[in-house]
Amino acid sequence: MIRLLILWLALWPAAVGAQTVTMRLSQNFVPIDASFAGGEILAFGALIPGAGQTARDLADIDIVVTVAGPPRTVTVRHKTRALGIWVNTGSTTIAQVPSFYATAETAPLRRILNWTDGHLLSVNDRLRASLGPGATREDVSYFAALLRIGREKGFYVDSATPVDVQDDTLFRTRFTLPGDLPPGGYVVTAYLLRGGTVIASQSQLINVDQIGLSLVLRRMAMANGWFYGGMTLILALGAGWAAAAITARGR
Amino acid sequence: MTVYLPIAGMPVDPFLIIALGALVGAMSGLFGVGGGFILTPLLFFIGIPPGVAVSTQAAQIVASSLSGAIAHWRRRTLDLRMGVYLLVGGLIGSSLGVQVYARLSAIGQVDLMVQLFYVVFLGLIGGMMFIESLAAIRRQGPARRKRHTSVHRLPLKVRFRTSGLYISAIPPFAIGLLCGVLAAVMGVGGGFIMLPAMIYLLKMPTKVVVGTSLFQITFTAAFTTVMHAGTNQSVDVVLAMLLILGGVVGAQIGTRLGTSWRPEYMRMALASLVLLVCVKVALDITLPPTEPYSVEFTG
Repeated sequence: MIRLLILWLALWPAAVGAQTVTMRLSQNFVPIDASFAGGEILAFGALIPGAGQTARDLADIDIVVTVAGPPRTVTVRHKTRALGIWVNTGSTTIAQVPSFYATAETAPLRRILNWTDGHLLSVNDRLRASLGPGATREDVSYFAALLRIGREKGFYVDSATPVDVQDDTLFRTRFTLPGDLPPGGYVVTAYLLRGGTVIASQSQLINVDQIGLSLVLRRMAMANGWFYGGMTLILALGAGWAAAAITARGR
Repeated sequence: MTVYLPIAGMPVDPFLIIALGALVGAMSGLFGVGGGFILTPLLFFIGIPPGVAVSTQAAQIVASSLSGAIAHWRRRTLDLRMGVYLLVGGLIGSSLGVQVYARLSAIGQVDLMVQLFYVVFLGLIGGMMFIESLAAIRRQGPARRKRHTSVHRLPLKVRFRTSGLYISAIPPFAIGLLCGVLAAVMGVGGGFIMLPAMIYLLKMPTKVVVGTSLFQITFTAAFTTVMHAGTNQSVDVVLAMLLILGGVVGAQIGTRLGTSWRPEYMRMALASLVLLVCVKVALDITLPPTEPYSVEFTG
């Protein structure tokens, strides 16, 4: 009976006292101030062995950490040649697309992931999910363009940095945030995988928002556009008048 | 060192922006145009979203043309009455232009329209100015002008004392209207169109042309700034201030350079520059793009 139990334990190690993961971030708020030029997020954490397990039981676990930016609606336009010039002739709008998405992992994702698992961790899979079922061939070419341009501009990042693991339990990785990233909530998730299957995960939220003068100006521009325009105008007129006054004195 | 632009939503190198402003300010002082037709494409090039570039440009034009207009007013080389007629047309044109811009932006054709406007208008004006200045240099003397053209046969005649003209109010109004539309859609002041139109169509004396056009541009651009801020929420005040800072310095350099150049050569240099930008934009829309797709996050 005991032998059977041990055998059962050996076959289903995850079933008893499942491993869990705990993760923290270097910061949960990224302030965009007047001198913001991008930032770096450090994600670190530990794998916690299940009851009666040691760190050794964690050696075969893979870790994938993802960062997903606030979902937004995206319009992809396609130019074709008409009457000798290149004109936007087609477009498609995709809702709920992550405005930023990056992954970091302990080994190449295609080696870690079990394709039947259904977890959409890679940049390609995650974005493909927002396309939804029933996508036409044309939709796929728009999607490919979104992915290509996003990778080029740095808002979709495959394998940002490797996840560094120490003593089979401690891990850490870092993500670089570009300077022109959109404000909003960014979800950082650490996934533990064994044999291509996600066995545990934990998420942390980062809030990215403008602060100080930058925030005041943006809010004013959005909520009181006419007033903001008037203020900009007064500043511009003042600068022009001052320039004329200084020039006149110089002569 | 970087400065974050709150509306464009991106960091920029402030010295680069100030340098661009200075370059355009120098041109403005040298030729008497706002320089928007060069600055707007440059802003596109460094990655400023087109909507923000076009709208913010208007604020920069306000500052540079106001300082120029004040200088001309002191020298009495500003025809106020002519300026007001141009302005009435300009304000109507500008409000139309902002609506056109919002409409084009919604259907995704704004970039193309701006580019087409550039090619057509820069090509026409640049070509005309180039031929005229070449002829003037060949003749080595001032051009003899026909005093009466079809413009002078229209009704609603008004006396423009500073310009010494007695002509219909319709052509100044129409020129103002066209420049207003262009100002709003292209993010330019319209000086490069107004200057030749005043010289060749209205037959205004050359010395009052620059001041009068700057007067009109100041108010049209002021109106455009507020309209864009209210309608499209796309004016970036931080970007505007950096450009203005550079523009003020550049204008001084340009004005000093300008006094030592002969007017025909200056017109020819401006014409060449206008044609150069025209050819560049024409190539952009006719050569196959490296990336035929574009991505825009909305909502």
